Amino acid sequence: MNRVINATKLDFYASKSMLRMTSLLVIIGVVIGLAAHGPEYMMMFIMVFAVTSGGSVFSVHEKCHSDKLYGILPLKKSEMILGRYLYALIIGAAYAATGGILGFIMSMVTSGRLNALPYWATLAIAFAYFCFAVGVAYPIFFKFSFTKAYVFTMLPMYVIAVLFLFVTRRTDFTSGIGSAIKFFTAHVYLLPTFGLLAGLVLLAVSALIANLVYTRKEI
Amino acid sequence: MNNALEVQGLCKSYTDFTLDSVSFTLPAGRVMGFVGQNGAGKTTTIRCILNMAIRESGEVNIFGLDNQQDELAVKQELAAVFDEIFFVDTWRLREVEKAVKGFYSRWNSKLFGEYLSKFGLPPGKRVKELSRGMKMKLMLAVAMSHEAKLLILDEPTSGLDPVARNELLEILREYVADGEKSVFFSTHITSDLEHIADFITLIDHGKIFYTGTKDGLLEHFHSVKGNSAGSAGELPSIDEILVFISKGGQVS
Repeated sequence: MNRVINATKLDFYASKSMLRMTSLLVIIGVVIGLAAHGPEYMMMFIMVFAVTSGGSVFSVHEKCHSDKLYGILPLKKSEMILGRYLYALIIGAAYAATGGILGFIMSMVTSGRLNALPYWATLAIAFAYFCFAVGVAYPIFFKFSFTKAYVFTMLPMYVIAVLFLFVTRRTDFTSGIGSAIKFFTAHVYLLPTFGLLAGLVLLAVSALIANLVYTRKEI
Repeated sequence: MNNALEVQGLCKSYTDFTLDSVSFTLPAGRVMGFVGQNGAGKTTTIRCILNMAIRESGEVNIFGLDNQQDELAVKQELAAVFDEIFFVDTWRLREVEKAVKGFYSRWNSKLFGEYLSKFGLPPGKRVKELSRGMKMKLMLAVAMSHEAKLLILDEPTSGLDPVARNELLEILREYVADGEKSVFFSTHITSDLEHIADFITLIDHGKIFYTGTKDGLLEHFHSVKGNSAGSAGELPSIDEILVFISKGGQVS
């Protein structure tokens, strides 16, 4: 476990300067939220940008020939992969917390128009989306180079985000889900748990795939 | 005598290149030059030793441990230096230590600081601000700070000016001076090996042509070739031997 934590630390050291830059994307999320008059859009877009932050570590490692560093460190490939997913999880949690706090503040500022159910539902979906996007992207980055794979892995995520924005604005999104809404209305506290669990399951499946892909790959 | 590195019958195929039953042994406390022209198979062999490339057959033992089964233990004992630096270029040198020290059980921060000072590497400087020679010294400082017993160098002198090359060779001489540490040094710049190597392994087109002591190689080649390339009575250079082999000559 110690080696996995060291691998996560190494990823944070590696992406430190990139994380500083990509964290500025949160401001864009806030601007979108203000323009769309909805904290839910802001929270979603912040999580979309979290995917960019989570993927940036691959670009740094690729640029700096870190494959050779990983080749000589006393670290198993599977531990390196676990470390990378732990890194992603921490990034996702940090962005979700930021989005959640900013969403709450914006909700207050905009006369409390976002009550508990849509607030937690958006946060849960946003986190699950982050895990889905990372879950799709990471095995591809492990298999191919970041430069080659970036467009193909990130583009669909932005399309999904824009579609989400379009659908939620054109339809009564929350009332259309029927029984699920009723259930979660009665058990609002379950929504973050649901989002967290769904996200963790997606990441775990992705980590297994990445492990299969990367352990067979020559560095 | 204990062996630092034993490679036996190592095979690895790519579509356009095959490493064909490569075998050699580096005794502990000695320096081996691994010589061959570009594309001869030096880097592939090193990648197999480091388990970065997966061998198809053969054995690689480092201090008696299998490099695949005992990978973690093996990598505590070895360090590698490549022709290009593998640290994040925005790191300051003190951050390099922070990033890697947790992986090594015998990491010595005091020693790392001493090496930085000795090699003239300012801890506050960023990796990308270093010259090529300084980058090489940084990799050596990291390698030596976890007290690696086997240092593997893959073309470390390519692209270095003569002064930097000489400094690197001096560092290696000091490193092996205690008689416990070993160096496996791949290069196509054979003059680097004339004074530092105890053993030479020659590789060409994925096959080993000679492995043994440097003196044995020079004397053997001298008797085979009659030293026609050099001055009468003088032993040939490793360069001359390499050229001889590349033209189809046999050494062993």
